[in-house]
Amino acid sequence: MLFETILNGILFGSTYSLVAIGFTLIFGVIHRLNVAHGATIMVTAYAGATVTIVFGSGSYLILLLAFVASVVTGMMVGLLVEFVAFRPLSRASYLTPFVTSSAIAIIIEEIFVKLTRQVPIFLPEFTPFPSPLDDLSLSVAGIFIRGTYVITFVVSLILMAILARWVSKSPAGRAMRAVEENATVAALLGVNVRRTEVTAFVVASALAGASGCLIGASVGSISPFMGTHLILISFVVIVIGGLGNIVGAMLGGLLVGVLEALVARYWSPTYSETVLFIAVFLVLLVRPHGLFSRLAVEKD
Amino acid sequence: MGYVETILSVTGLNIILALSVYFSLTVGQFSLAQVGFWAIGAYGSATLTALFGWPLIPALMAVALVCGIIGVILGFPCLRIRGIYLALATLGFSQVAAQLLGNLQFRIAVEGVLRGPEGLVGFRNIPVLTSVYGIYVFVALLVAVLWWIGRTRFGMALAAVRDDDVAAEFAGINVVFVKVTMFALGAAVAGIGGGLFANYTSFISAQDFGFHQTLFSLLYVAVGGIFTFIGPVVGAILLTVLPEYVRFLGENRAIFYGVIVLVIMLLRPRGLIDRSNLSAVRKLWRSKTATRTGA
Repeated sequence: MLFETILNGILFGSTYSLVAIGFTLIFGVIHRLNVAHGATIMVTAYAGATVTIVFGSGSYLILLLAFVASVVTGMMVGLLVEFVAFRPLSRASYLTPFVTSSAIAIIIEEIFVKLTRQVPIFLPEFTPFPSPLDDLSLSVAGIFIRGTYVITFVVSLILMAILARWVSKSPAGRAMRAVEENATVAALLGVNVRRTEVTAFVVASALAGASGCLIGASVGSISPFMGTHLILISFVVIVIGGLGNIVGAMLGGLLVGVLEALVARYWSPTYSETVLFIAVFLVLLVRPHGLFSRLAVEKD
Repeated sequence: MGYVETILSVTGLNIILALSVYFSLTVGQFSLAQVGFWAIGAYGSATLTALFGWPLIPALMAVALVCGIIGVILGFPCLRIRGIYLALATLGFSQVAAQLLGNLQFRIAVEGVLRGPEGLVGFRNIPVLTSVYGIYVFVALLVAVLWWIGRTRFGMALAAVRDDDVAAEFAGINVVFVKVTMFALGAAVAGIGGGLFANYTSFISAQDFGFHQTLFSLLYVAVGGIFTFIGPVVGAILLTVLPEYVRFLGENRAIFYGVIVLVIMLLRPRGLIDRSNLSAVRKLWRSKTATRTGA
């Protein structure tokens, strides 16, 4: 029973990893938190749901199409957020983009509250996200595993592997790491900082799109407010993993998935946030650079 | 009459929330813990007044004391955390407080009727012990205290700590004392605000203290500006009253709300009230008093 809970936590936690990697990627490059990241995921989930609702949910091809739709939507929303909430404020303190991206999150959420009431294919509050994976389930040695969780986990792992390779090997990825280290020096060495920042936003939001589709398909329903929960989860994951630390976000996402599953199984789902945020507080006090950081020394 | 009074009261409560954020901002600590203290104050005062029959003032003093003590306990570890990390840690406090209190469930018989918080349903039938006047008495008190602090040596110490805490330390200011004091004061103010809120609306639930409420506490301060206490007051008034003027937008009001915040922040990243327009007003005021005294 315990093993099953932990396993399901790890499998679903992989979507949290994807969500948080995007969030931490943006923080790493521009040192700002994008509060609209959760709202972006919500929009992409609706984009994916639209495809499966309109074209029917029977085939895997349509699910793939929904996935692509989600990713592309994510990129577009990410570009929009960067252009409106971050680009005009590149010189402002960290507080201002926090506020503007919150404002965008509020605007997007409210637009979708309205849309879900008026567009006939959506339902107010919760819209189902039909997928052919719904009935899939595995039972290995008495342990019950949902098929969607396995597929979600595999897809997340593949995406993370691609991302890791891209960040470490490709010219754009190297530029991103250079900007992360020191934007001024990177600019002096000929890195186009502006373009790198936009790239970070697009890649992060594409990951947001992927996670939006995966979360929608594995939870089975989506709502205009799902972004709020996910942004809070992202806060938790990036603190546990260390702000700007991509590997930390991967492991942190899995850890948060497991914690959430354990709390839901052995205490009550209503208290999962309590446990997660107490963990955040402790990590900030004891290891401000995250559990998985190699930096032992404190710095501001 | 009733409608205007409600808007005025909500505005007053939001001013209190915004000013409670401002307290720790005066020493450069950006805290998102205020909604957590707000929740503690609301549930605390509701319990004392509804279940134990306390009058309002002692109940508010009790929650202020409790929130102040928690503020001191929380203030010390928060000294080690800065900037965005502090924002995340204090946000955590708010989420934990709201979730724990929002799930509280116990009933006590009061005059033969079972009362108390009912978990996610909320805490109903809290006696209404304050009106718009009570709220504004507290707002006036807060403004007076903040204005007075700004004119004392302590106020100068606050400004010094905000601008450069290392330099302030070398100048002989007890930075730990100053920071923890302001953090605890902000907590106590938020606690009283929460108590007033509970005893004004008569019904509270976890939804009143969620992440969105924390975001709003931040929006008031950011839109108004963080250089003087006038900023949060202006921000809270603007963001509470302006949406009421656009009632013709109906359901689109919340969208409009986001757009206002976005536009203001893009045009004035430091908020509406900053040093330049404040010193302009001050100069104007000084020249007037100067001519009046004939100097």
